[in-house]
Amino acid sequence: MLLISVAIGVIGSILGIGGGIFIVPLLTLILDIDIRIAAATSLVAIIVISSTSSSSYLHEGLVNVKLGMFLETFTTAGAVIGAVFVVILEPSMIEIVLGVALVYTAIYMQLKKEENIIHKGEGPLSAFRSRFRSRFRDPAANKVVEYNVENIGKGAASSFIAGNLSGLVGIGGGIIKVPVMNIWMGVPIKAATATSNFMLGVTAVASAIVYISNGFIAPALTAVVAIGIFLGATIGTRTLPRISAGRVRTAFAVILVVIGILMFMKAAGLVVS
Amino acid sequence: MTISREPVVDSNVKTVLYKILIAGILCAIIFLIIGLITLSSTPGVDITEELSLEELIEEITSLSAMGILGIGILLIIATPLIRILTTTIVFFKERDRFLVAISLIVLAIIAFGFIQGSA
Repeated sequence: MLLISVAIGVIGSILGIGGGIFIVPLLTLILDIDIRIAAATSLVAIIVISSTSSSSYLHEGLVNVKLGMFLETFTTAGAVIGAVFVVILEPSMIEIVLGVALVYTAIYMQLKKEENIIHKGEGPLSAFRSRFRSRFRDPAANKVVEYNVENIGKGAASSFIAGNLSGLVGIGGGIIKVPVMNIWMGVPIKAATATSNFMLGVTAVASAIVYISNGFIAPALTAVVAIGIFLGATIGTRTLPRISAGRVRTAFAVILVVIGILMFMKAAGLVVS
Repeated sequence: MTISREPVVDSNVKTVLYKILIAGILCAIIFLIIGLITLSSTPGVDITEELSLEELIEEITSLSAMGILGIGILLIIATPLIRILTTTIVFFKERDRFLVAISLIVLAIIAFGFIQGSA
């Protein structure tokens, strides 16, 4: 379990996804434990990935703090307000729609190059939008990347949906927020995964408190997973700045397809999580 | 409406947050390692043993191996909360009312979720 946690920590910290979609089924399959204990363990693990990686990414200048704080308001609200979309669609229908959307996004991310997405910090901006303008040094490309954030309203709405769906179909918000920030909002992929990691901890904390206060915590198991995740996230955060944006986007697209297929399998009743 | 061409870098909040997150998570991991080492010397341990909130508090106050693990887990959960409180204070000092409001909304949502979930 420790080694699996290390691997999830590496992937999660590089791609800005919490890894809950992998942790929960693995814990229930390998250790045959109650799904609520698995969910609580997974939530603590997500906070560890978030805190470990975002501390390092803050140091590197990759996290867009103001954008992260703005979007996390909508994600947390979406998560807490409850499953709005279950009223409109059946969970299996949501899984199919999400599966299609994830695979489509993966293809789109590969077709549309990063340089065509980023809007450099040129031209006048309103006071509201200039607040989110940011820049960071990319050691892999050996240059300073400067960008404006576009489509802030669309991003806020998507973050709300991401938070809302997270409880409903067992996915963390990262898998939706990273492509939204990258493709729609023009945030470079490395800044998008770093900012997503920064946000994940806050969304997870809201749910983790509820699970723990209701007695669904196995401290020893959580400790083993948390230490593994910490080691993995430490390795992952040292890796991200060194790899090219193109490779990060390809790796993210692969994960999107994997999770998309997982969604189809869940809709067909082949996977339970 | 104000017009700006200057690239805005996320103020000095990044340095403060970096220190809080790294300190919080390192302290938590140290507690978890000490707890696991202490627990491994106890015979007949079940790694999947779950504790109710009352049992967890009892273990923490008696500083048992499970209690030390409990402190580590609570530190993990406290770290993002301290992060939000700190950003609220930093942005308040920087007089960015919009971000102060955003931070307070997030805290209120978490509190609401907690109250609703515990009820």
